[in-house]
Amino acid sequence: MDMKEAFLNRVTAHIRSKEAKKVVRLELYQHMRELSSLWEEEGMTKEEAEKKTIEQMGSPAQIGKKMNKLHRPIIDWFALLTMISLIALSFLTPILFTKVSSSDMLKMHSIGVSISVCIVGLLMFFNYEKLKNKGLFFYIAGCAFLLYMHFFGTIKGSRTFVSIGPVFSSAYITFPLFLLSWASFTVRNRMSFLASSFLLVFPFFMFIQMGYYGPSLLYVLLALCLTGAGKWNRKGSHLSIWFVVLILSAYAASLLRGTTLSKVIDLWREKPYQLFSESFYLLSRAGWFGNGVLPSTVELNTKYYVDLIFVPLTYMYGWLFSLFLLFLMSFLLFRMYRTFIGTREPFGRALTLGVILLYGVTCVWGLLMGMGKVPFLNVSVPFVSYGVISFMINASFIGFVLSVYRWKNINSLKE
Amino acid sequence: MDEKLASLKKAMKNTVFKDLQFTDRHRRAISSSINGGDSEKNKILFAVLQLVRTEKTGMEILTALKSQALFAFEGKEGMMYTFLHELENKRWIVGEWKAERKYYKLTEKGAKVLGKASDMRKEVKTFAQSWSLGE
Repeated sequence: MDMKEAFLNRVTAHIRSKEAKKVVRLELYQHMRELSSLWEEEGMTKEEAEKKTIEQMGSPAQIGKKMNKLHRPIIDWFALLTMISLIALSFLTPILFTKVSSSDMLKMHSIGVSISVCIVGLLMFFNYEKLKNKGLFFYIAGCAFLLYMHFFGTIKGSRTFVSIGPVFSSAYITFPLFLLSWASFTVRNRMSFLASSFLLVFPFFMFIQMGYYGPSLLYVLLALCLTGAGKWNRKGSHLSIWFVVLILSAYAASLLRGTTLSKVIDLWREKPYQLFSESFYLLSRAGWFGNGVLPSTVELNTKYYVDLIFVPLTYMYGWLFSLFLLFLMSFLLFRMYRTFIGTREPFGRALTLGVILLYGVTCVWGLLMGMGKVPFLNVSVPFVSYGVISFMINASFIGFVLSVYRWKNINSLKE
Repeated sequence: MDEKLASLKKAMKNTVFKDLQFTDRHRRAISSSINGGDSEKNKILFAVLQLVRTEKTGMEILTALKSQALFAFEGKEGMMYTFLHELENKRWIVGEWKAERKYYKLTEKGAKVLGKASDMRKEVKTFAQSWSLGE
């Protein structure tokens, strides 16, 4: 066998990743070819030149081992540990409420967490890059799900829900699909302005139609950010004009539907007012270490364990606990940011950016909502609010980012 | 005791080190590891970042390093590529394949690192100059 080939085989024997093998081999091969032709020019025979070249290259095992270390799948332990801590703390919510509600919240939550852990694991070990070209598929799947919800869902309050086994899910369940599709659209070939606007509008109206005002805005924000950061930079300004147009048309649509928009405003102004004054009362009495139990005068409803979750948690376990929780949530966000700036592969970057946006906005909005600073938009705080499906959705988001981090030093090789 | 050690040294010379010739390459390798891992590595880092301000292949980088009397990759040229890939992972440089060849180039992040390094180098230089003036 060719001496160069033998040398390269000995190098790549130590490298596990297929992509890394190919790239390292080609790069070293080019170097060796140049070296030996230099020696041949100096008057050496072909064999002598090759021998000399291999001598100059150094130990193949050393090179191979080091290359393997540089291009192997890695785990973002900081993010994973933070995530595990958040999962452990998330059990406090159902524990808190089993005392007052006879339902099997704890059991449901345990099942939800087990499934979520599986989702995170699967997504992390799966190389996300294989989904790069499946954008349209995810988009159609998301829209199909929304249509299914619209026709076969159950209306509870002002919103449409869909039952999945024993639980009801909100339309937020389509967000992982839309996230993948928009991340994929941004890295693929340029799509026409009209097509991208159409892609933006349909799910938006479906969300509005089913009473999801918060998620509809979040969806537009997601699409705008990803397209703005992606290849469509110049079209970003056009898209922001569309943003305004959309809000106006949404307003018109809601007028057509009767008084839905004014209902939202009322919800913010009047209805939860009592709730807010109660939550202010609770927060002011929380103290650093909490009170252990809620006062019996507080009537617990769904608002408390989904949207306003921070209020009863703070009252019971204290500000110290809440600040720790906040620290964990922001640290996870920080790790995602690190993944974003440390990744070169564009699909992974877009995916991470989308997760940062969705996770960040829902965290911040959920917290501010608890303090009565922003309109009530039925947003749940990731990992803290009770909700089996929303827990899984957020787990899948984290799974995507862990996958991006895991494969970043391998996927960047293909560029 | 001294006698024993002396005979050990003699025995080693005749057996283990019999075929070993102390070449120029060994001398350089030893001096580079004596002159200090970290500062040597920094020197190379600085030189490489400086070099890839314009696109270069691995071979071009290596030749340029040699011309600057930096022999860290002497006899282990393959290891230079691990060094380049490490910088690539840090996103200080970026590699691009063009016609079966990989070209390396400095990134914005790398330029920042280089900026810091050159600041330090300036300081060292001005310090050295003022010192020689005072003499």
